[in-house]
Amino acid sequence: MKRKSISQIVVVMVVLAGFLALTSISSPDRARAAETIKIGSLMPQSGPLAVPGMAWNRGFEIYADVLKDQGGITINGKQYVFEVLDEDAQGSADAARSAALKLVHREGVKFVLGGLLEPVIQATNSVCEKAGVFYGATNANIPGHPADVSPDKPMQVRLNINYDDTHVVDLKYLKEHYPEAGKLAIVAPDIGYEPMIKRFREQTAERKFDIVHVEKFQWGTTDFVPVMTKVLKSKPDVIFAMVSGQAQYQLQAARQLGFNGPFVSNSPLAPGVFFNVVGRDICDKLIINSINTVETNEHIEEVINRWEEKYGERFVTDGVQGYDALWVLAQAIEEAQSLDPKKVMDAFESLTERGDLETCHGPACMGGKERFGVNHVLMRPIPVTHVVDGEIASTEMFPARCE
Amino acid sequence: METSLSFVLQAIANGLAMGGLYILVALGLTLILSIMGILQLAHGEIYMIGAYLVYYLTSSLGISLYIAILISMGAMGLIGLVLERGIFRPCKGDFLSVITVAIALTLILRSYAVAQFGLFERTVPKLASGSLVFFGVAVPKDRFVAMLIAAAMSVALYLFLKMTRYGQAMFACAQNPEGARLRGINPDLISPMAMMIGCALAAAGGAIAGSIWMLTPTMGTLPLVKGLIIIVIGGMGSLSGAIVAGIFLGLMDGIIPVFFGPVVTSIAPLVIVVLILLVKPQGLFGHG
Repeated sequence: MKRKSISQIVVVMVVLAGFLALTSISSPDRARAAETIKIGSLMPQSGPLAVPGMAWNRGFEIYADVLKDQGGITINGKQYVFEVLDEDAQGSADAARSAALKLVHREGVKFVLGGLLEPVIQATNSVCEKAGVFYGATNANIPGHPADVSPDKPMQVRLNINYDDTHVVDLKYLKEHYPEAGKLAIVAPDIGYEPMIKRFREQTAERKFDIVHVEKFQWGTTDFVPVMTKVLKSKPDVIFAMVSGQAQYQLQAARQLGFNGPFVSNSPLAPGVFFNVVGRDICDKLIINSINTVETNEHIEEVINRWEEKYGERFVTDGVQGYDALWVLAQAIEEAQSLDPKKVMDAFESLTERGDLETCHGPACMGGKERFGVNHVLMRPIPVTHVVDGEIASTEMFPARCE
Repeated sequence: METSLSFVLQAIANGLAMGGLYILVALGLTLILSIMGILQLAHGEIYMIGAYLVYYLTSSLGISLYIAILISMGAMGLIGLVLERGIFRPCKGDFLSVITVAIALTLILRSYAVAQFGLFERTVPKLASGSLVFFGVAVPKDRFVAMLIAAAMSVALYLFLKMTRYGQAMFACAQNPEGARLRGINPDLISPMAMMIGCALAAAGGAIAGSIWMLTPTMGTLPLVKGLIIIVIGGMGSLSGAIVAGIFLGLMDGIIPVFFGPVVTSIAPLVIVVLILLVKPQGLFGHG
């Protein structure tokens, strides 16, 4: 290639990159305070889980802002605020391990939050436990998985409900509102949900439901018409979308193929996401374990307003879960009156009565001893939002299961 | 038996709609490959940017979807002209340079989309809502419309190539560039035209896909892979091959997932490509 041609390409590429950089959005500055508690955030910010990962992270940041505006938490008469240091866990164990090592050993972080995938949770906990650092895992896609809380993980708590806790609530709600619906089809991503499906089978059998089909779709699927074609062959009365961030597309495909029965989504996707993405006209007989973001309480309203102001983007409901996670950590630190991670763990274990902890969802507690052998799981109210004819008919909060 | 038949028909209907989208991407890719002799690996990003442009036009300026698709096609066609003149023409004939600049372009455009629109999914208005029922088989209206648009564009491209002087010149350049030159056809005039048409078709494909599913900065990867598979199956540079292979691949993507699990669904197209290459290395419609 001639020298002139090379120069021409370089000039065009530089001009293009420069133009694109000029029109892109710059990242916001991170607020700093004099007395700070560093919080390590290890969420996926790239890859297929980037959207919920970023939403959780933004929830942490918003709570840190709120705490700063409130003057901070008081420990032995001294005020502290949070500084969130975020690292991209990329949804991979190796990346999470490296990021956790950096946060713990280079940044000196004593409190780490993050997860979303089991291998990431295992990798992060192994670093935190060794260093005596508190680890608040954000999720359990597969409750009871070796990565989940257990008595042999003294520094790990899980700051979210089990997704399978929603099953009992959803089945109860279905029985009350759609008593004629007895045949259920499950749609779940193929990322190891078998234990959850097994538990769901037991729960449905106890409540006289039949599971007529289980369809596991490939992680990353965008076209759900073939998936729903298979599901509808079994002629279910109800479709149950198990912890999927793409439940809205599943609903769309099912409705386009002629399914008119109740559709349950137990992911935290808000009704607004369904309305915006697939349109209100197909949002009927829709039951979602999400908060109502339209008519809501003051805490959630504050999270939404701050989100829209800070990031200028549409609110994603996972942000509320991130907010709750850091909020309950703040409450446990205040309860412990110490920044020693072990004392904070002890404080968490003592907060077992409903109302000991406050969350955006309502009064909460730490629980899980019966199932996991240790009270290391945040038990908070479970929302059930019912959409009928494209409108939110009701949102019920089922109280947290506490002692 | 009735259930089984409607089940199969449903799968075929799903597949035909998918095939329409694949054809739009593959036609552009194969046009660029056959006339310019370059593998445009950033074609998926043109598809993605075309879709985001429609998102911007519909959500921020309130322009109707179909007008926005036409504007996006025009805009991406012009970008294709700039890319051909500024980036690809100087690299012509140097395989490594083409691949390098195409990958660089991919990274720049994808990073731009992440920075400008974020990772959160965006949506554009639906092409149509509801379903049509043919012989007891429900076909989503948006996919039916997508299929019609793809068919109309394919026919328009075919007529342009067959019936117009420029189209004939493009054919000549694709089949024998030296022969075309001897007949007085200037490939430097034809190449930008191929790039413009290719980019416009990609923009249309992206906008339609965005209307059926969602917009993400990585949405161009899968169509690019499908487009490359179609080119290999149909034959390098063959437009009719791209159409047949697009329908074939769409049918496979519609039918296989409803009879088999996700593993078979993901590997089946690749197995078929290998088999076709073993039996007919130049592809179904390729010349030896």
